[in-house]
Amino acid sequence: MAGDRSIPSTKVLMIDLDITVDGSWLRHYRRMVQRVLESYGLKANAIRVTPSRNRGYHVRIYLNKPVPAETANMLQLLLLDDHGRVDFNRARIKVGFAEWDKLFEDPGR
Amino acid sequence: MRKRGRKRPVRNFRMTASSFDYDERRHQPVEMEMYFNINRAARTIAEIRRIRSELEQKGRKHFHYWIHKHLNVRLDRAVRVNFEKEQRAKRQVQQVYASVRRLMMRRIDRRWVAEELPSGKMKFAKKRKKHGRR
Repeated sequence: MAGDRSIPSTKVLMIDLDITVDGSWLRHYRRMVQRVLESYGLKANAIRVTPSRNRGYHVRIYLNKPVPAETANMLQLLLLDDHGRVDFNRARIKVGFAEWDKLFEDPGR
Repeated sequence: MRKRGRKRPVRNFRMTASSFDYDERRHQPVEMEMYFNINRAARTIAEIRRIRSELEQKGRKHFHYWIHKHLNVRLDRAVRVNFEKEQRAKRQVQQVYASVRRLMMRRIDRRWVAEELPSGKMKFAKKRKKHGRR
C-alpha cells in the first residue's frame, strides 16, 4: 500500500510566510523560531529568510538533527506556514510521497 | 593543445503542475497534481529559464493528455505550473525522460485526502546519437 512507504526524515523546515513585515518583526520571528524548536529539543543551525515571488517570505530552517516528516509538517504549522500548504503536505505525507514539502521559487533567487 | 570548455553542471529540475475540477458524482472538489523531475545541464539563469519554459510547455501538454486519457476528464480550468529551486543533481548525467508522479487530492470532511495515481515518465529531449548523423 502506498501509505506504508516510509518517508525519510528531514533536517530542513520550509515555511511560506504570506505577509510582508518590518525587519524588526523578522528579528522577533527568528527568536520565536529558536524558542519553539528548543521546546521540542531541537536547535536551528541556520535560518534563511528570502523574499517570495508574490508577497511575504520563504523561510528555510536548518535543524541540528533530522525529524520525521509528520513532525516537520507540524513544526511548520507552529512556525506560521501557510495553512493550506500544511494540509496539502499532510495529505502527501499520508500516501508516502517523499517530496512532500514543496516551496516554489523563481530562478536566481 | 585545444582547451576544453568547462562542463555545465547538471541540475535537478522539479516542476509541479496542478489543476482543479469538481466531481459531480461524489460532490467533491478534486485537485490533480503531477510532479515532474528531471536532471538537465544548466549553468546560467538564462539556461535555467530556457529549460523551465521547455519543461512547462511539455508538462502542460502531458498533463492535459494524461488526465483525458486515464481519467476521462477534459479540463476547462487553467493548469498552474510552479518550479522548486534547482539543486545540483547527485549524478552528473543528463536525463532524456522526466519522471512523473501523480496525486489526486479530494476534499473530504474539510480536509484534503491524497490518492496516488500511476506514476510514469515523459519524454523531454531527443537522445544524442553516439556516432553522429548517419
